[in-house]
Amino acid sequence: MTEMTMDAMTTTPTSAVEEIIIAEEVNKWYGDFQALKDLSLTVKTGEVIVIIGPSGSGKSTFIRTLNRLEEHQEGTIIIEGITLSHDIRNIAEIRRDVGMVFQQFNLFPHLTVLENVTLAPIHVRKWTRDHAEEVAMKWLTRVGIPEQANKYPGQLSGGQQQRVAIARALAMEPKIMLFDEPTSALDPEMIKEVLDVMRDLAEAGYTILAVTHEMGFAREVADRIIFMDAGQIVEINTPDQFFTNPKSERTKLFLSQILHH
Amino acid sequence: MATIYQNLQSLVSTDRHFSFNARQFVEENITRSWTLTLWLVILTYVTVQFAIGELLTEPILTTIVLVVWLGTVAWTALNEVTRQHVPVTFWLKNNLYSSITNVLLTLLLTLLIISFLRGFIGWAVVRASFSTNPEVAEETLAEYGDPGANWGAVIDNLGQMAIYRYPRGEVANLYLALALLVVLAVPSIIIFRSERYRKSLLRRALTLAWVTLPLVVWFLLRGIDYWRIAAVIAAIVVVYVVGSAASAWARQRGAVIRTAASLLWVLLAVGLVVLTANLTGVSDSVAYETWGGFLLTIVISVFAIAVSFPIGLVMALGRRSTIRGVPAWLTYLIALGIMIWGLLYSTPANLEAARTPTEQLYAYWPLAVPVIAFLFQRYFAGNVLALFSTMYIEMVRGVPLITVLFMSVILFPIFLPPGMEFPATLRVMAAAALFSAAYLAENVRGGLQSIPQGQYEAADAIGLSTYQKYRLIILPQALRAVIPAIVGQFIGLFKDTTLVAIVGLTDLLGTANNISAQPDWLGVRREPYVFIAIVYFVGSAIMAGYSRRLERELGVGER
Repeated sequence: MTEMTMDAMTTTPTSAVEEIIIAEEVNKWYGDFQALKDLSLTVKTGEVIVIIGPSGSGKSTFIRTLNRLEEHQEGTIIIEGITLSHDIRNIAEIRRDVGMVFQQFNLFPHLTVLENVTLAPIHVRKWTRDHAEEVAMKWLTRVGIPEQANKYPGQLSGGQQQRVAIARALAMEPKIMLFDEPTSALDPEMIKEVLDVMRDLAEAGYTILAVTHEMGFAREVADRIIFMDAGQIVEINTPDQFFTNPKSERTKLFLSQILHH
Repeated sequence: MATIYQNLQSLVSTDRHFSFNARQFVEENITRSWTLTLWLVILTYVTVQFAIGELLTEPILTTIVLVVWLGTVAWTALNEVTRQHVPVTFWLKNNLYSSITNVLLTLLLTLLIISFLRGFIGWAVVRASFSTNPEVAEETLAEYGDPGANWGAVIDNLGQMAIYRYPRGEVANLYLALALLVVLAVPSIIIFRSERYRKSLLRRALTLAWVTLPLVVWFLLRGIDYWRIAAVIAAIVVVYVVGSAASAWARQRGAVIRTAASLLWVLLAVGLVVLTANLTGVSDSVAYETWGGFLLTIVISVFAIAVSFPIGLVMALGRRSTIRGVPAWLTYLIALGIMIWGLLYSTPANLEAARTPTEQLYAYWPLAVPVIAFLFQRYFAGNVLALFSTMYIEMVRGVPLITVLFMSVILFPIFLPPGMEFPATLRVMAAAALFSAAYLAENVRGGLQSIPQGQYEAADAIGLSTYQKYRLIILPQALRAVIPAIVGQFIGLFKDTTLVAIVGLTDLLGTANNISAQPDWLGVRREPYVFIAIVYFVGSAIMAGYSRRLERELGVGER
């Protein structure tokens, strides 16, 4: 991150509450299939949590319930002291403070990079265009692609697109960042550029929940690692303990499979 | 073959390398399969026959064509075998002479086109009469054994075909409407395209002018006094300025003041409608019945296109809506209530009155209500919006346009309170718009379905409201994807307006039909039809061209 400016580094998200995410006994079903089982988790402000687990274990579903892309049927989710409910105003308020990055980037192909990043600040935060563009350029500089501002997403590489997606989420000045397998759709040489940006955000003090298969990143950056299987949290541990001395047999099996293939 | 080959070889300079395997050429291009050989024989026979026929009727032109064709074929063949193409022969080889079939087809089609053009020009120009005096026209045409077009009938009736019975004293209104359109269109081209005017006052004024224009044109068409029109325009401007000033002021205030501002908007709008109705209701110097010809075609098409678009859009969204439906228990409770009420109060009386077993069966209609309620819950999950959109779309799509027009003209007045009249022209316009809306809804729905789920999720995740999500993210992409389909539908609508002839309105086709009944031009049919065919073609081509330009302009970013 050589293009990083000192100005950008000083923007540190702050929150009034210490326990920024509280999930209690969350249950979710798709028809008869239970995707999340009695899931409870508390995240402190500034914590970096990496969620890993086999596919179909409910990792993505869980972080998508946090900004109501998925609806949970039972249990309580409190974000920044606001309880998620059917109330549209609650959901809107939470989404303003929770940024999300998707596996497939999901940039808006009909808008330029700059328009992608300024869209939400202008229409949701009601900033003036000039102010929004100024902030957007700051974030594009921080993720290292200010020179691509006037191109369309289709003209960028996968790694660049994902960095635009991160800038788009950051432009709303969220307190929490959710990453849903942000590097899974990328070519190997582009993974690093995205992980570098994520590492930078972790150091800047953002509260991060990331679903990822990048074990190196998890080990290096995470404060806590959560291992999920079949909709349940099997283990919560520090990175060191998790990789060297996992508590559960299921975790050992999983780690042996992914580390020795 | 070998001798031709040697002759060809003697024609070329020695520095060209020559390689041509005649046997291989024949095997590859003629005797590869018996179907190919048969096809070539038939094609050659047809081409030669046609060429001989053309040689006899038009010797000079056909000879020139034949010489040019032979020369270019020989030149291209020569350059091909010597592999020494110049740009012209390379183009000819790729586009016209790529195989023996194409060589022959090129000649055949050239001769066909020339033959057709010669026939048409002979009819339309050489042997034609352009006099609007029927007697002179008759004399001119009598000079030819095979008389051509009698364009006088079209020229004499241009006014009829353009505006039919529109009072000639009010024609100035039509010119004024056209002039307004041009006056607005010219600056719009600059102002709506330039970033510089994004939020300028000029651009807002122009948008307001465009919104007001249809109303003003409508008034002009009805021949309403200019001072009344000016009053309505003034009222619209006042309402807009006062309303937007009020809401701008209220934006920074509390919820109560914002609601009051919205209320003010509604009151102003209602006042505007009342004022407009009062001002215009009194003076109708142009009756709807006088609208006809191209004027009517344009009025119906533009109205139907403009009105069907928003309705179709709403219906497409409605059909796909996932709003929380009426809960099952409430649905069944209401159904049960209706059923019991029906069985108690409707069925006995109907049974009494029934004369046939079928009518007795109909008397038990309340029993069907719970079934309908079940189906409603089963297939729409209680979503009333989706139910009505789907029902409307499927009902309209299941009925031909002619039926809808007949219904609007013959059936609709029955439902109106007595004494209330609704001109047939207006009814047909509404029918065309509502008909088009159903098809448009399906086109738009197709576009909506082409948008990946991720776009919805990303829009949600950055905190856009549902309205913003559709306006900023989903619809711009969905509509762009279906521009060709929508424009195709509008072109169809433009041409379908001819169907109004069936319900007694006289559009462009109607006026053309009328010409052959005029004493001066008795039996002249061909010329008016050719003329309106050209008019329809030009109209459709303009729309198609605009659609292509729109696609290209909006295509940025998809690269």
